Amino acid sequence: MPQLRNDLATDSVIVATRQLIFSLARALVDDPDSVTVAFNERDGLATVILTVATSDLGKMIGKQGRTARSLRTILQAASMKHGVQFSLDIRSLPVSSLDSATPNRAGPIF
Amino acid sequence: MIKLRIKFHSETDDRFIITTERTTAGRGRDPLLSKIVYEHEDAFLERIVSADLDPTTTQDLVIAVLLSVARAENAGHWIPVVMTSEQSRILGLSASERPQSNFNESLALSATFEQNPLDLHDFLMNAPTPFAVLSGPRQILSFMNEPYARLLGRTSGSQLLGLPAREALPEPGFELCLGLLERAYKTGEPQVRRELLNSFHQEDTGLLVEAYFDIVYHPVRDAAGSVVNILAQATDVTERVLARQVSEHREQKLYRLWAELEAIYSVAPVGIAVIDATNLRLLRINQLQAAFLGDSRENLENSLPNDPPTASPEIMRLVKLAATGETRTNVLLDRLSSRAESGGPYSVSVRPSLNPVGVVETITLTTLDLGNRYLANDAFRMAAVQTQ
Repeated sequence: MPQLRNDLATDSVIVATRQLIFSLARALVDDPDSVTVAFNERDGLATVILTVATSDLGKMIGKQGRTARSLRTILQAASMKHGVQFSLDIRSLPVSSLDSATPNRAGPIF
Repeated sequence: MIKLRIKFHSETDDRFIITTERTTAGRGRDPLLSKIVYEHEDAFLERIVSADLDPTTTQDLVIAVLLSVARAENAGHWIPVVMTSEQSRILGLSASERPQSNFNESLALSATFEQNPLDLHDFLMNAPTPFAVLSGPRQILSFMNEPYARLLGRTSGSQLLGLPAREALPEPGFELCLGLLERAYKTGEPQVRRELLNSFHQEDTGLLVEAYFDIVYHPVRDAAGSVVNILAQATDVTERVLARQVSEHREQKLYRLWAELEAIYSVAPVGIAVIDATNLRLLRINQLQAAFLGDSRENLENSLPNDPPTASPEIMRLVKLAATGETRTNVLLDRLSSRAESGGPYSVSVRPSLNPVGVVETITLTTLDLGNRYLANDAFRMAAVQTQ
C-alpha cells in the first residue's frame, strides 16, 4: 500500500471519499445538520472521523455494528482502488476525544 | 450505456437481495434481468466502489443499500441507474456473476461473461435449454431461466430466486438432486446423472408429476480454487425414457415369444422350418427338420436354397406354391433331400403366413416322419386319403 502523499490525485481521492461518507451519514441519521467529517493523516494512514449527534450514534453503528461495518467496507474498497489506506472513526457530539486523531489537514470540511 | 433500475432487500438472516430490471426506451421495462443474493451486503458495496460509477450514482446506490438494511421501510424502492456493460459486470448484475466474492478476484465464470455480460445473460434467459445458477454453501438460486422453472413445475422462476435450493425444491422427489448439488459443491467434481427420476407438484395444476431429467451440476471456482457457484443444466428426457421403456417392454415380450417357440421347436416330434417367402431363405429350422434335409441346423439356418438345390424338387414345389398363398397339408413324400441318408416316407405340410396387408411373408413347413408309425398313424391315414 503506498504511503499517503500530498499530491492533487490523493487530495481528489480524499475529497471524494469525504463527500461520500458525509452524504451517507446524513442520509442515515435523524439529525443531518450535526454530521461532520474530518480527516486525519498519521503514519500513512488516513483516518476519516465521522461525527454525528449522540442520539444518532446507534443508527450510525447499526445493529451488531452492521452499518459501521458497511462503511468500513466502502472505505476498504476505496483503499484498494486508490492506493490510499483509510480507516473510520465514528464519534458523537460533543467532540471530546479528538485528541487521539486531531485533524491536521483541513479539519471538518462539511 | 445500459439503463437499469435496481432495488435492494435485506432478509432477517442477513441475506442481501438485489433485484435488477433493464429499462428500454419506448418499450417500458423488460422482464427481470437478475435477482442476486449475497450472504451480506458488504460484497456488493465493494463492487459499487470498484465499478467507477459517477459519484452521484455511487452515492445513491450506497445510501440505498445502507438504508435498506438499516430501515426496513426503505427497502424495495427502485433506483434508476445508467451504466456501461463493464460496470454492470463489475457489479455482478449479470445474474450468473458470483455473489459473495471479493471484487478484485479473478473469476473463472466472469471470463465467460467478460465481453458482454448482458448479451450472454439474455442468451441464457432466452435459451430453450434450462439453465440455473446456485450460489454459496446453501446453494441459493441466483439465476434461473424460464425453461428451468417450467422443468421444476413452476410457472415462473421469480419466486424461487433468492431461496436456498432446499427451500425452493421442498418435494421429496428432488432429494436426490439436492444431494448431487451438495456433492458438487463439497467435492468440486461435476455431477452428471442421466434419466434421474423426480416427482413434484405442478404449480398451475397441482398434479403430481413424475419426470426424468438428465442433469449436470458443474462447480464454478474462484481464483483461489474454492467452489462458489454451481451451474445447473437440466434436460427433460421423460418422453425419451418412456419411449425407450415401451420399446424395452415390447422387446421383452418378443423375446418371451421367441423363447416359447424355441422350446416348442426343440421338443416337437415334427420337423419345423420357417422360410422367407420372397427369397426362400430358411429363417428358422429345428434340429429334426434339419436332419430330414440331411444337414445340421447351424448350416441350414439363414441359408438360401442351394444351387443345385439339395431339397427335393417336390418339396421345393410345395414351398413355392405356399409362397403364392396356397396351403398344402399332409403331402406324402418319400424323400426331402438328396443328402438325406434314410427315413421317410414323410407327411409334409406348408402354410403361408400373411403380413397385415395380405402379402405372403413367411412359409411354415412341417414334416412328420411316417416311419414312426406310432406318431404318424393319423397323419399317414389322412395322407393316404388325400393321395387317393
